[in-house]
Amino acid sequence: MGPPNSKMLTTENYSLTLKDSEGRVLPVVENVSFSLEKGKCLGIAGESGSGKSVLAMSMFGLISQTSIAKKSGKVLFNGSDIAHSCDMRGILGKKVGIIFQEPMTAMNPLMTLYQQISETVRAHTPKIEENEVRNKCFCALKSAGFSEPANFWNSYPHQLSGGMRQRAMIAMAIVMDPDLIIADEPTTAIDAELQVQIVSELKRKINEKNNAMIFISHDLGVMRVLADDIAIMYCGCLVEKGTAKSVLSQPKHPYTQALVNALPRLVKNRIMPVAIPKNMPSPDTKPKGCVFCDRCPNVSDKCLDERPKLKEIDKNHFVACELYL
Amino acid sequence: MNILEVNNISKNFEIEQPIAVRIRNFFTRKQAPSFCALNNVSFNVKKGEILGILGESGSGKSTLAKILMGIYSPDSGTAELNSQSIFNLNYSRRLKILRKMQMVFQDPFSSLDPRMTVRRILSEPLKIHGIKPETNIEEFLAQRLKEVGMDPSALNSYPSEFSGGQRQRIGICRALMLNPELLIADEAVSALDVSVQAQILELLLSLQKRRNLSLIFISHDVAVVRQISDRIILLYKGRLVEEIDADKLLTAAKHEYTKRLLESALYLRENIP
Repeated sequence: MGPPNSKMLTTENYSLTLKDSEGRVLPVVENVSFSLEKGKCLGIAGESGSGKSVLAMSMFGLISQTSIAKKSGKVLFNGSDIAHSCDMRGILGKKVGIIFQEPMTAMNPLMTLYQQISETVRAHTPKIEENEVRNKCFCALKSAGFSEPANFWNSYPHQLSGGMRQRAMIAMAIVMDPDLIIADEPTTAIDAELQVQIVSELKRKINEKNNAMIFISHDLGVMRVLADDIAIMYCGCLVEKGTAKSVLSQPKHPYTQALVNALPRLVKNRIMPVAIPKNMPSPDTKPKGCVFCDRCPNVSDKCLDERPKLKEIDKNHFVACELYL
Repeated sequence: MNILEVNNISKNFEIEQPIAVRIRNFFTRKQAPSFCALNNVSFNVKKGEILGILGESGSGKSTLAKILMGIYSPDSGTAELNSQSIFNLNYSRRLKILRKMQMVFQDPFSSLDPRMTVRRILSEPLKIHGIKPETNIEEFLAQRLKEVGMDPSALNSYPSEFSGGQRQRIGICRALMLNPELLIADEAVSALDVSVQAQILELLLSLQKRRNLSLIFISHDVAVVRQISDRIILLYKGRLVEEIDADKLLTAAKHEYTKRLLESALYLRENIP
């Protein structure tokens, strides 16, 4: 652990409860605590519906206020608590860059690539000159992996291939050189070669500028390459966190183990991925005890009554499971 | 024995151009520029075999699936299912072929009609092909749903009430309604989480064994294709560049592109036990 001022983002017991249109109360994030230092990348892994995206989006006010029932705990970004502040316009885009899921829906189909990227620059630096905007966009696209950005200035999103749109999203997020990059599933549904390319670009970016990154994905393989620390999320709770190496090579929580076993192997012999039985409960039907108890192979009576807390079982390796208490 | 034989299929797509250019080309008799999606692709599928088709986006793998299903017609080449040609057929003969050959789509969210109940979705293929099940229709549908691991109570629900994995099960169930001999799965697990993906792969494999199906499994994910297939063909920029047994993929791949792809894929899988 470095000195306290090297922390970029810290959350303490951050919880979020949403309400839906039918008035149901959904506890989507529960008591999440983690800290992220400068120059590091934190991976948040979990199935869809585990609350990993909503965690990242809600921290920076991207969930509509009307659907939030309750928010508690602290979110410290560069030392100031932003959990309850409403106006994020000064921070978003400038200090925090977000790479959204699904570039086809996140980009405006009526704006050219240049218009979309320069919009961010103009919003944060109103008096900037045209050629400077051009220059910034050029650099951003270049570092996002476009070899000839000028050829695509006037392209609309539908004229770009999937991989290119994905990289354009990255360029939009990094154009203002933010301190923190949040990447929400930036590499799903692209082939391995391009995945490696994008991941290495992102990694170079954070190493170069001593930025920090939160990488959200369900693909543990990509996460291993990129993340320094990994937090495994299930049903809105962190069930395991630690360094990427220890979490992936010695997974302790039964859910993490199941997730690793579900990954298709690329080995000479045929080993089929092992499915996790049953489905994840929805936020309003979560069990009272451990969130994973109805799918866990090692379930005991105690698991059903009490929700285990994260406990350090190895240096920097935390697990929330009865097995390790 | 081969169930499907595909010979020298090629397909070009015309590149869309402004109307003025098209008119000028028409008068100057200039050929419109085109993009070659498939170039002389030949392969076959044996009975009861899982053939994996691997390739990056734009390699022509989906075009190939669409040509086989009759959504596009090829510029040249032939394909025979059980020694019967499947191209240039009239509607009634086309239907007969489709009874033997069905498809599972990539996106479980857009491939099911949101305004149809599961009952209607599943009975639609029966209606189109004019088939009446021997037993009671309700019982028949319930039993089919059970086969893909779903509860029969799902019949009255709409697709929006299900998760991605369950929708994909419904999609597979629909494809199997006519008892096809060949199933084409185009990126059927790509939109799913790893844990759900494993469930669907397990399901496909058990169905394939039980019904002795032949399966064409199309994906960009090397690890998934390696695990599920018996034999793999690789497409690169519309050409078939390699055909190899799945067990030999990691050791005996010859083509430059295959090696590059494997290198990237292995890099993403390093150190995971």
